[in-house]
Amino acid sequence: MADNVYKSGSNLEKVLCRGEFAVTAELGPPKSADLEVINKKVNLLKGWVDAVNITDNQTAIVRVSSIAAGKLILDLGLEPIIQMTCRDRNRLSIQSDILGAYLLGIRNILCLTGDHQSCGNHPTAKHVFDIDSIQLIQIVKNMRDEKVFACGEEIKDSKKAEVKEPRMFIGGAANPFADPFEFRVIRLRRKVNAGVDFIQTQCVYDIDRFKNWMEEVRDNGLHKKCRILAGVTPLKSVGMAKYMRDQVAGVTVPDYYIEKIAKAKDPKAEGIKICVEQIQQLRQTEGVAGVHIMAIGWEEKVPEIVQRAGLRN
Amino acid sequence: MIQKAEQTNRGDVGIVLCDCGGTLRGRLDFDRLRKQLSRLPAVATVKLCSKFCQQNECTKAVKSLFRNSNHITRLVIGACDRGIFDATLHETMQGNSLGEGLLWCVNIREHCAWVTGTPEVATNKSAEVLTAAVRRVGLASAIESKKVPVNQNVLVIGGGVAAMQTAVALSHLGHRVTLVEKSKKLGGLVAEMPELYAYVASCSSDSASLVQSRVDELIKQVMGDKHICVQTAASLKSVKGEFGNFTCVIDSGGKEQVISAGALVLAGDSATTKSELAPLVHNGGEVPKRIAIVIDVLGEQGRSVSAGVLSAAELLTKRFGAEVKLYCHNIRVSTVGLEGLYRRARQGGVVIIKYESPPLISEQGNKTVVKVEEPLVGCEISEEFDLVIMGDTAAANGNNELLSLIEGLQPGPEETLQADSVWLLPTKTNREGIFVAGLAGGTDELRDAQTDGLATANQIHELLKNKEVEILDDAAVVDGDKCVLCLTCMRICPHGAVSIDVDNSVASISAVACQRCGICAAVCPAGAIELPRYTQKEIAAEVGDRPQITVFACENSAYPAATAAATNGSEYDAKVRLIRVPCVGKVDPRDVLQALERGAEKVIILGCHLESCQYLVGSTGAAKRTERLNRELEKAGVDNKRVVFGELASMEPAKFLEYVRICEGVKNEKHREL
Amino acid sequence: MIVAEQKPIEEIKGYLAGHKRILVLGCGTCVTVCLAGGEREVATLASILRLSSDSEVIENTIERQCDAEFFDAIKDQAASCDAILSMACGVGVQMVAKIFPDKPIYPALNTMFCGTNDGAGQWSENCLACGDCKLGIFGGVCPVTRCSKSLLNGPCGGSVDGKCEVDPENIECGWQLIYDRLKTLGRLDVLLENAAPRDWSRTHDGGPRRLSREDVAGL
Repeated sequence: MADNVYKSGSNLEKVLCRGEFAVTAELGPPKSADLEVINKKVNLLKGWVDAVNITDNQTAIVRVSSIAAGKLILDLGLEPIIQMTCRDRNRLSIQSDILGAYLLGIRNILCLTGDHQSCGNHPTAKHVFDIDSIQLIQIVKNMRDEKVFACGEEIKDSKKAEVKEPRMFIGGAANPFADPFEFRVIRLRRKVNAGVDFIQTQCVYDIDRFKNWMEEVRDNGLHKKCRILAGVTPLKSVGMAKYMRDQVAGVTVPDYYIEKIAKAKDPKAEGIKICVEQIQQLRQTEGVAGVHIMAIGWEEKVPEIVQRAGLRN
Repeated sequence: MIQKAEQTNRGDVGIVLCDCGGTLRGRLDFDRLRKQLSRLPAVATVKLCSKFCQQNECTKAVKSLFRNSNHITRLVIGACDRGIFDATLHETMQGNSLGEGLLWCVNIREHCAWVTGTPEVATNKSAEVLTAAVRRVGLASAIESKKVPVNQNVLVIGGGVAAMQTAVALSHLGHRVTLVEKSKKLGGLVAEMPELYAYVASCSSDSASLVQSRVDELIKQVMGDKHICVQTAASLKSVKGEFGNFTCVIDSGGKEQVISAGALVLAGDSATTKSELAPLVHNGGEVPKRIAIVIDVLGEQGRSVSAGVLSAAELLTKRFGAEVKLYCHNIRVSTVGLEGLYRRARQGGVVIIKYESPPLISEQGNKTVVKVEEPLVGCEISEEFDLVIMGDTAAANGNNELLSLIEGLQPGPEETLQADSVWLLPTKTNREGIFVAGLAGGTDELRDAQTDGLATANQIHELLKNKEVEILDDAAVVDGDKCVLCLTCMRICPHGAVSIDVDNSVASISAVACQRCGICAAVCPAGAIELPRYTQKEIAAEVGDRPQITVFACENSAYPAATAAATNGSEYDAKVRLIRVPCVGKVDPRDVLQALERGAEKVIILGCHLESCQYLVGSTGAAKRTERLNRELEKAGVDNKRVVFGELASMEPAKFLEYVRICEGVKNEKHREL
Repeated sequence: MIVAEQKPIEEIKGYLAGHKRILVLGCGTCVTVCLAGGEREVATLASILRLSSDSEVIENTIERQCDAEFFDAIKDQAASCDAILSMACGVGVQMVAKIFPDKPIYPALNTMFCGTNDGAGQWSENCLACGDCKLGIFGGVCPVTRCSKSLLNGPCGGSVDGKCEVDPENIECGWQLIYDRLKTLGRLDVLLENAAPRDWSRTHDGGPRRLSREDVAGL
């Protein structure tokens, strides 16, 4: 396909348009001005994934800004997906950052609501939430396709200047297991209506429940309107499994997995094995266009997982 | 005519002091007391008496106050515990224009003379306490009694044994009764399944028919009584009003009817295992072969559940030859006949399996599997059954509806309609004039249900035997100018006695429903509520200008405990002054702080054990308020050990002494002339 | 109703340190109803202050502190003091400061929110005074106030069993409430549409707001 037919021209977009099973991973920027951390993580992931998410002050803990880290990663040869939340920015800074990110060469953006500041390291801060994730998706889409700002003005420097719009590949998050359950597919549809191009889901452990959700997604034709990447996170230990089940909103871990890891001689290896099996099952599920591997603090395992799952050699 | 309260500076207080047949002469200097008290400007005269508890002595003493053209408008009695001379005093005061409100009794015997070491100190204490009483009574208002017309009719909700027995008994006592039953016929659960109540009659084989005949007899009595109006297929739609004047709407086959009554009896039933089992039992030959009954409640379940499942199990085994296994955490057999029933059930072949955690029940094909960890055998037992019945606790559907219809009605445990308080036994609810009988109150056993009915009828008759009830007009009063309609009093009142007077935009307290506990007065944020005889000013006057150890004593617990301590021969610091309150829920943090500001070294708030408060929440409220106050005092840098809350019962004098810190080595061995 | 709660006593004492004669002034409206600053609370606090310091503390309560006229009754009393502790909400405290510009005025309360009474002694926030009420759309449940993130296109996905991730014990997910309510009303169709970004200029974000009834103002 010719380049000008793509919405953004990003590698991720091309992979998905080609119908290949996409692989993305996640990278948390450092909590300091330490470039080495970024270099190290890029070296682990480069060549094994199609693009990598850069988190944006995730869990409301201050880290290097996602756009800055995204540019650094781009220069190191790995394609970034910058995450942008609505917690710390208003619509002015959001649009301003999108223009800037685009000029820096960033082409993928994941639009999120954002964790509440009370769970982070600056709980006394004021939050913004000028807009929410759906409104953000709409704004990014309008900037790209209608070539206007949120206020309706055309994106051009002066009356006589040329329109120069930022063209991003727009992502959103979906949680197949959140409350109210009956509402989750409707919310996905609303994101699609707002203009989302791809979706990354919250990590999946209960494959059966996920398949039920996918069935409903397919019944609504939504898998054709956006590309869905299922999230996976390898479990390191029983403690982690229980933590995910009890403390992380919207994640359920079947007892079956907890028992397996508890009984395993090498829990870590068992965790990787389970992750690989999950990816294989997800790949077989109709409508799943790729997988998003969130190996939190365990990025070094991503190449092994990708390889064993047969996604790369 | 009774005088309205005025600040007394002229001498219009009459005092009678009793020396208890002379026995107190050795402990109190009566001459000094008389001289000291006479010198008070508010006091007109002080009379001495020797046996105030004797009728002629009492009358003589009081009458002598009014001689010599003394203008007496207030009375102070310094004698023993009021309980001893109360009836006598009441008799004396008949026909006297001075009412209850303008009279105050001080216990100079049990609370002064008997508990203080030396006569001098005892006399000082008595003088101060009597002086405080003079101040207090000077601020009192007259309390009149009024007659409130009441409706002597009674509305009974329900149609079972308890309801019918209540109706019959009430009718015999002369009341007209309306019986409202939601199903089409009378008899309730017992009529539906007499076999399940057979255990109460005896072990004989025709006990079911005995039970049946008892029920039929009741039904005959009810139907034949022209003073009982029976409405079947009817349900209660709304309840308004208060004791003596309830207005209820019932729905009878789509038609609405308004019924007025002076009292309400809630005697309906709620769904239990029995109604689940009824169709099963009546189906006869179609009873499945293997049946499991599961009570999946940990801990103690109600007796009604035990009775239900055991009699069902026995019935299913004996009459229908089914194999029955009963799974439970334990079985309560604490009512007449239940132990026998338990034994018969087991002899009949019912197997009872106790568990530590509830069994897992799953469907497998057309069988149901029950899996349970059996603690004695130590392994999992899994069995198949044709039918599994859940023996749940009394379902609350019917009761929840009633609870929402009757404002302020507090439910009890297991969703019964009687709040869990010993003061409400046997059949009262927290709302005056509303009673429970039978299953609604948790009574399941047949004879107990009948007893409930009789007891309720008697209690109601005591209240409604005349066309009017005479009550003292001393209910809590709301000052309309101060009331901001915050609704706190309405929500907190444990007796549903507060409503909103919409026309006057003020909280309104019912004279018949108010129990005079004073809890509302202590919480009102605008200080708009006062309880007559326990107003803020009166209490402040009693606490006095120089309090030392002020004890706010609940009249149900601390006060009698103090009396008991005295009777037992104990002594304690003379600095202790008891301020009697109807409930510690009445104690206002402002009263406590005022005592502290006036120099009290300790303020002790002593009330009933939290779960035994006569007014349900009074003691708890006082405990919470004290906790909060102490926290604030501590943070402000004030010694918060000065304010203490304690719980005790009236027969715990040792506890009382613990709180007031008994003086060293003063256990008094002397006998006293009584 | 405005709901407020008393400040920690240490903070209050900190303000009053050094003042010799203090007036503790209560308010008979909102703060009386929410049990924070009415006559009873005034008496209690004044008492504690007297017990814990050498200052002279006098007390009074007026109908409302948000209207100037009610202060006439206590003008002399206030003049005789060298500090006033107002037990009103923030609005009242500022009015006291306006009326007695030469006196140090201190707040005894933290004004918390506009909310409802959930039963004796319990209140919860449910209106942020955003100036552009959308309750008609969301089934009578406010997404701005009841949702911790004020989302108009919620829920965020962080709720569990209808409880908000910010405080699962105490906060219900506002969007679960909206969903349930619209479901009862048979209006789930409302939730098929995306809501546009809201106009925050009508909230305080646009500056402190003013309001005027043209038929009454200036008469």
